[in-house]
Order: sequence, then C-alpha cells, then structure tokens
Amino acid sequence: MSLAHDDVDATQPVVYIPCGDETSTEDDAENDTDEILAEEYSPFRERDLPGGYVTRFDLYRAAWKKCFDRMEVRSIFRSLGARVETRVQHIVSALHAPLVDEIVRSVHRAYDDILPGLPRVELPVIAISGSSTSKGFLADVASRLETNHAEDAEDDDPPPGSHITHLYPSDCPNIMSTMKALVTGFVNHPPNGKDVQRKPVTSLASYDIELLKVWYGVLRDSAEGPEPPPQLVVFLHDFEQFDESVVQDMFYICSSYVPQLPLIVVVALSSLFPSFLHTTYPQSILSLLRVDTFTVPSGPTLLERVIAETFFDLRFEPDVMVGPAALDYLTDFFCRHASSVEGALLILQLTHFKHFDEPLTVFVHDELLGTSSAELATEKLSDPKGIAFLTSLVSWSFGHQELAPNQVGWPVNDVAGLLASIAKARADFRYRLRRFKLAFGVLLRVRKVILNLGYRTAEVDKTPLEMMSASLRGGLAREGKYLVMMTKKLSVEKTQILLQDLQSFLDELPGHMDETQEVRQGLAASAELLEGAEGAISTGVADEFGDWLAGYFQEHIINLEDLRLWEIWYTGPTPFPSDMLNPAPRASVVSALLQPQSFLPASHNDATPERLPIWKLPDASILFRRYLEAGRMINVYDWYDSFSQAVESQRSHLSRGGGEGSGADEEEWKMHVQARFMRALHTLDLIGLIKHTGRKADHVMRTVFDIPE
Amino acid sequence: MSSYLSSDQDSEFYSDFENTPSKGRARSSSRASDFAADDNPDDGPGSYTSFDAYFLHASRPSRTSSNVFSQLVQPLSPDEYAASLPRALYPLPFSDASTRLLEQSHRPHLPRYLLELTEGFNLLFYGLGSKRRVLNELARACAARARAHVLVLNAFQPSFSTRDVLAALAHLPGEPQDADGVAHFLSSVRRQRLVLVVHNIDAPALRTAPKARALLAALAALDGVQVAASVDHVVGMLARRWLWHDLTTLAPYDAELAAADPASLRAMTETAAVHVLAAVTQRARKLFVLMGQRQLEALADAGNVEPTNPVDSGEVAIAYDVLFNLARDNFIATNDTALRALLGEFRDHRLVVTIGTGAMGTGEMLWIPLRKERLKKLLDGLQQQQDPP
Repeated sequence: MSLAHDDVDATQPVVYIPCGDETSTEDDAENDTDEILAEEYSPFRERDLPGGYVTRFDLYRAAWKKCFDRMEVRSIFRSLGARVETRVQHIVSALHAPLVDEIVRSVHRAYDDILPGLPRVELPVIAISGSSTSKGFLADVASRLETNHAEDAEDDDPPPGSHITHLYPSDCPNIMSTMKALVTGFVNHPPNGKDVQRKPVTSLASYDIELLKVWYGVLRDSAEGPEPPPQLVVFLHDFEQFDESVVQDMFYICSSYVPQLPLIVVVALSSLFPSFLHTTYPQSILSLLRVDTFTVPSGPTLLERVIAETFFDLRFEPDVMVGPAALDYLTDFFCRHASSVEGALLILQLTHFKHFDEPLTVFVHDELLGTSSAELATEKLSDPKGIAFLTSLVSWSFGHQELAPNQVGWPVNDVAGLLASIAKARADFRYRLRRFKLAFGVLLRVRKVILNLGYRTAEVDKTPLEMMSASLRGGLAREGKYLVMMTKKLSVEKTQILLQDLQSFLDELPGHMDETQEVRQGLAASAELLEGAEGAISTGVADEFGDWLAGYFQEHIINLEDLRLWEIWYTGPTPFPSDMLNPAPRASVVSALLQPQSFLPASHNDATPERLPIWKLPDASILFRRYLEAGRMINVYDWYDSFSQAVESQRSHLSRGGGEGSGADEEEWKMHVQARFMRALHTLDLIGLIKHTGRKADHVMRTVFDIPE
Repeated sequence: MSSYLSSDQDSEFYSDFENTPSKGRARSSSRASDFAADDNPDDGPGSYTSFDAYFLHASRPSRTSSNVFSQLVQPLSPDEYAASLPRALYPLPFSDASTRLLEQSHRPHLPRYLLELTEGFNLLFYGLGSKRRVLNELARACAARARAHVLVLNAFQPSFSTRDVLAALAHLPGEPQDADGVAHFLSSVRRQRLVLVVHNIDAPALRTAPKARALLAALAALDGVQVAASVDHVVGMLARRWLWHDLTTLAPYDAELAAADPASLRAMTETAAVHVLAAVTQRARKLFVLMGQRQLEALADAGNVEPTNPVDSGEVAIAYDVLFNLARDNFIATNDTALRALLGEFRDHRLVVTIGTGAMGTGEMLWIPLRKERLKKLLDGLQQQQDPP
C-alpha cells in the first residue's frame, strides 16, 4: 500500500491516505477545518467581502440547525443490534406517536385477549406497511417496547420491557441460520445479567428453539413479584426480501411453541399495502397467524405537516424562509420520486446551503458581519477591499428612483446609516412575514369552517402544499375572493359559528403576539353587530365581515419579493439545483461525445462552430458519430474501416508532412490507427454504449438511438 | 375468429387515426423515408424522436456486410498496442492540452465538494472522461485539509473484491475489521471522519459482487463516513439522496481500461469467465486451474506464439486422455463420466473449446480460448481465492 507523490496508485485495489495531521484532534481544530475550506470557496467572489463565506458558513449551519431541530430531536437508542445514533423526527414522531402507541399496546395485549374456541393458539404477527418511508419509526417502536412504559397512563400496571431480536434478510438464507439468529438474539442476553458458560457438549444446539424455551423458563422463574413475564418480540426488517420458504418454516416452528413462548413477530413491509403477506404466503401458514396490520402515515400529508409546522407556523421563526420554487420542487420530488422524510430533509438542507452562497446573506441575523460590535462592522464595511460588496448592497437596497438624483437627497449618507436601514428592512420583513403567516392561517381556517358547514364548493382545486406555494407567490387572490363571497352568503347562525371558530384559532396562538390584534378587532366588531341583530333573518353582518376579510387578505397575503432586501431572508423564486439530485448522466455523456468543444472553458470555445468536421473530433466521438449513422447492429470491421478513413482525413489536415510515408512507416501507422480504434471501442464499451451479441460474428448492437442535432 | 370490429368501423378507426393532425402524418412520412430522414429537410429533427428511431431500426432486419473483423485484421498484442498508441504523427484533437484545461476548470469546485462532504453529503460524479485525476486530488485534499482518513478504492480493477476493502480498513488507526469496527473507531475520537473515494462505483467488480456492495453500503450508512464516487456507465444506477456533479473531463480512460485486452472487442472479457467460475463447484474450479496451468506451460514451450483461432491451437491444446489422467492424479475426477460432467458447464459457456473430436472421444483436444495474460490473471485470482492469505 503506497502513495506515490504525484498520483494515487492505480495498480493497487485500495489506497489509504492517512489523515492530514493526526496530532491535532483537540478542540482547537474544531472549526479551523471549515474555515480553511470556506476561505477558498467563494461563489460570488467579485462582489463578496474578504472571508465573507466563512461568516456565512457559520450562519448557514446555525440556520439549518434551527430548522432541523424544529423538525427533529436527536436521541440515542440502543437499537438495531449496534449502537447507532438514530434521529427521530420531532414533528414526524409527533405524527407517528399515536400509531406507535397503538402498536405497542397491541404487542402488550397480544396474549391477553385470545379468541376462545380456536383449535390452537395463533402466533401474533404485526405487519407495519410503509415502514421504509422513515427510518426512525421502527427504532421508535423498538425502543418503546424495550423500556418500561410508565407513560402508558391508561395501563394500571405497565408490563415489563420486552426482549427484542432483529432479523435481516442477509442473516437468513436458510432456516437453520434464521433460527440460530432468532434464538441467539434472545439467549445472548442472559436473564440475570450474568454471562452463562454453556458446555457445547451438553447443551442444546444454538438453532434449537428448545434452547429458547429453557432460557425463557429461567427468565420467567427469576422474575420477582407479581409482574407478568416479559414478551419476546422478533422484528423482521425488509420483509419483502426474505425467502418465503424460510419464513414459512420459521412461522411454523414458532407457532407450535406459543403460548409457552410469548413470541410476537413484527413484520416491516416497505410497500404501502399490507396485502403482501396474503398474496405471498399460503393459507396453511396464514391460518397459524393472527395478523394485525398498521400503516405508517406517509405521502403528501406527512410533508404538508412538516412544512406547515416549520415554515408556516407562527410559533417558529426560521432564519430563512423557503420560497415557492424550492417548495414546488420538494413537493414534486416527494410525490413523484422518493416519498421519504430523509429526502425532504436533504432538499431543505441543500436549499439552505445554496442560499448562503449569496454574499448579502451575511446580514441574516444582524449587521455585525461576523465582528463583535457595530463599530467594527462599520469599519469592515468601509474597507476598500469590500467596495464591490458595498456597491451591490446599496444597489440592491434601494430602487432606481431612490438612487436617482432628487431633492430629498440619498436615502442614506454613510455606512452606519446603511446598516441601520438593513436592520429596519429585517424587522420589516419579519413583521410582514408573521402577518402573512397569520393571514394564510386565517384563510385556511375560514375554508375549513365553510367546508365543515357543508359547502363543498369551497373545496379548492389546489392541494395544501400547492396553496402554500401559491400564497408565497401572492397567487391566492381567486381563492381568497371566492371564500369571501361564500362568507358573505352565510346566515346569521353560520356567521356566528365562523366567528367563534376564528376566535378559538386566535386563542390557540401564543398570547403575546401583536399581529393577532388586528384580527381580534375585526372579529370583535362583527360579533358586536351580530349580538345586536339577534333573531333577525338576514343582516349585513356577514356582508360586512366578508368585506373586512377581503381587505385583510389583500393587505397581508402579499408577494414577499416586494419587500426590501428580501433576498437575504427568503429563497424566493431561486430555482432549486435539481441537477444535483436528479441528473441526466446519459444526456451529458452523449452531448460530450457529439460536441466535445462545448465543454471546454469559454475562452477556448468562442470561435468554434456548432458542429465540428469529423477530423477535428477525438477518437471516441468519431466512432460515436459513425455509430449513430449505423443501423441497429454494427459490423465492427466496417466500423473500423470508416474510422480509419476519418483518421486518414485527420492526418492529411493535421500532419505537417502531410504526405505518404515509406512502407514500414505505413505499417506502423496502421497499427497506430488500430490501437486508437481499440481504445475508442473499449471506451464506448466502458460507458455502456455497446451491447455485445453472439448472433453475428464480430457485430455489436447499439444502445443509444438519439438523434444528432 | 371473427373480428369484433366491422370493416366499416375498422376503416373509420384508422381514418380517425390518420386524421390526427401533424403527428400521424409526420410519423408515416418519416417511416416512408426510412433512413433517409436526414435527407428530407421538411421533416426536421423535431418530428423524429429517439423512440421512433428505435422502432424504425427494430422493425427491419439489420443489413450489414459479412466482413469479420477478427479474420481480416491481425489482432494487436498488448505490447504492440502500448507501443503504437503514443506514436501519433500529429497532436490529436482534444488530447492532453484540452483535457488538462478541462480538469483545471473543475479545480475551483474542489472546495465546494469538500464542504459538501464535511456537511455530510455523499457525492457522485458523472460525465465523459476519466475522473480519476480530479477525484484523487479531491481525496488528497480531504486528507490534508478536511482532516479525514481517506480510502481510495480502484473498483475498476477486475479483481477488486471485498477482501481488498477489509485489508485496507486494517490500515486505519485501531485496525477495524468490519463496519462495526469502523463505527467504533469513528466514535472513539470526536469529529473523526472517513471518506471513501470510489473510482467507478458502477464497475463490474462491484456490480456483480453483492458482498462488496453490502460492505460499502454498511460503511456509507455510518455517521461520519462519506462517499465520493464516479460513475461512467450511461445506464448506471440512480441513487437518490446523493448529490450529483457533472465532471466531464474528456480524458482518456487509460487506468480504467488498463485491464482490457487490445485484441478483444470487449472491454471486459474476463468477467464472463469469472461469472462462470463463480457458479461452478470447487472441484470444477480446480479442474479449470489445472487445465489453465497446463495450457500456460504448453504456450511457454511453444515459444509463446499464441494461436488466434481454434484451428491453430492444436499445439497448445490438451488431449482429453491426458487431462483425464491429470484429473485422476489430482483426485478431481475418478471416471470419465465425472470428468465430462465437470467439463460440461465450461463447454456450454464456451470457456473450454473442443477441437478435432474423433470417434468415442479419441483425439479429442481441449483448449481454453483466453489469451495468455488474461488466463494467467484469471488463474492467479482463482488461486488466491482457493488459499486465502
């Protein structure tokens, strides 16, 4: 294992490069790394502060952490065999909590209410479908089962922690290793905490379920007090990948030992439909089981909840508000490609990461620019090196009219004034954003009430996620107007219901919020009118309230891009870099073969035409161009022939001598062409453009049928 | 069977189809013009998609000449190949200068990649051209500046296997033996990081080895382990939740194709043999090794002149009865039936070729149609498998 100085050895299968400096593992090295990296990285160098990215990188980390912590809390489980730090989504786990409770309860009661009159006791099986959408879910269930559950208040005497074994498809290629994994998974934890030395000659085989029975007997007898004996829970992860016949045998063996062994099997299905068990296993096996099915909440509802409680919640103020473009991409990705929480988190993290490329985002929290005081910040900004940054800041802060010569003079006259104006812009943005969220919340609430009152027409053709995205674009005018119209037509009683509901919505919000005052006043005014008009069939109250609502929506559901310096706190219409998650590697390869010149840096590319003559192309491209002109199958010899012709023409264009050489030279030249042909052919083979076929001697098949433009 | 559609309906149905504007007509005209679509300026490329092209090609037998490359062109030996490749009379288009320039243009992005790795993202690089140099640079930068332990895996090597990864893991402090050991090592010191740089994560060696893949997946799933890998195959895997970067370099795949045989049309011939050998019994593998060694010896005796087709290979081929005696002496097969059963699998996959079969098997000669270097490498690999270190 060696490391050559200039290049990493390609002849070794694996090369190890030790960590740069092993001595500094102390805390002093904590942040240096990132600063070294960040100092070199500066996406908008021309208008950035010196070392601006270092500050912004810290801000990015803080912002993302805040957002991430909102969505999840970290907890450490001893789970899944090894000590893995598992993240459990806070919001998501709140969503999952009822289901987890239900599963845990169903495990505890698995042997309590057995149907009388059955010929034999059934093996309880709990099928959890859709468990792959969030990693933390099963870990959550397992940890709840393992510990004592004092929180189950409704249970008078909480059952003791269950014993758990996890089985994975890779552990279970046959019934013997499956049973071994199952039995040793329990038995390796001795009942009284002491390690028992077993004599291999006199003890049962490790795959024998009798061993588990003996172990369980000891466990039950050693239990003190009137506590019920613990249960044995087996988790089958990635259940679809298990061998059917192995699982059938395992179910059969286990079912013949219940209820002496209180085994409970938890089956984790990744599909959303629990029918897998019923379609895959025969009735003879299913009749031994008592299957309970649960489905993990997933899909758009999950995402909706996460987004609504992170970015559209009045109780939480993220550093950076996600814009409609990123939100649309997230929705699309989640609904179409990978409906997993991890994927959604990745997209949000990337959005944050990209957002802080913008030099101005250094002002996301304060105007200190990474220094400790306002004076130092002013000094830093006055530095001539930061003049480009200052210029861009001024031109982004103020519109053309404000900067044009006028009688009032410039809006700010010095750096301190500029920084103060940023502080003002921030306060304004935050204020407007809170009002925006409140107004959006009110709109959703009004819609909900009207729907609950039985007016189906209030159903908008947008999903909640689309509503969020549309509201950020300021594009909910039509929906708002329609709701207002519906409100105006409400009868007295129904108006009352609406007002009461909105009042309770406000009451649920934290009390100190000033923003709610306006809504409270609007509600109070209408409520007063309503009281006066009690008993009347129709009053102007609904009408008036509708008018107020229309004004309220119009004033507050605004396009955030109209606010000054919105770029700092809002990702807005910036498109999400979808190439990074959903690339087109094939298109890239094909276009690199067809137009290699377009990949060269711009300075070398300006004078080259769209389509190069064939002799100007590299070998693989020549071969590929001929490939596209061929039929479904390509005769390698003919391909070689046309390649040599192209190379001949290349030679006559590029070779200085240009003329024909002697016979020996000609021989060498032929070998050279052949070597180049072989290399180009192997290149196309490596990148997967050739399919070999045994149908005709020395023929290959095309795999790409793109049309050269 | 009578048609459910009357002829009237039938014609109506088709006329409706014909009447759909533009599409139907454009398609039929492009069909009429066959391959001459390019010659017809009215059609334009817009009316003719790659799907159309595929079905057009698939709809007719492919007519090609009867020339056979391997008969008409003398194959190059690896030495000839290596010697004649750099013997260009003029600088080739898009050679060194351009590729260096392209690689240079990727260099400013390295800090960004490093930042992404430190932030816990896994990266995949795609695009035409060898990405080895740039990725190696990234690997060194990781070690030097991001203070990470780095393992560079040259997965493009045909012999790449799980064992190599495990052997390399042992170089880490604490000498971990498996993924759990690595997890322990990473958690022992705070902010410890391991970066795996995988050249060609889509290489055949990884594609066909579930064990190596499982090990990589187990490693990548650990906290503190990041993967930066390159992908070259156009129908490569599509890993979601990885960050993709276009890293077109146009550089020749020299290191990646170092194992390719210049006389073979396939870039990776060995793999077929490896597949077959992986599927047969231990005994059959032993037989193959025995035959291969005998053939190598015969080749050395014959002055290393390699036959190119079965007809010329009489000199180096092994007679069936000689092989039978050898097999019996080595306790591989004790009777004729057993030996034939062992050979059957190889014959079916053309890993062993029979020439000159006489009556009742007399004069039957067996030959492994692989070139010397290739056969030698294959045998070395097999022997390593048989007696692990």
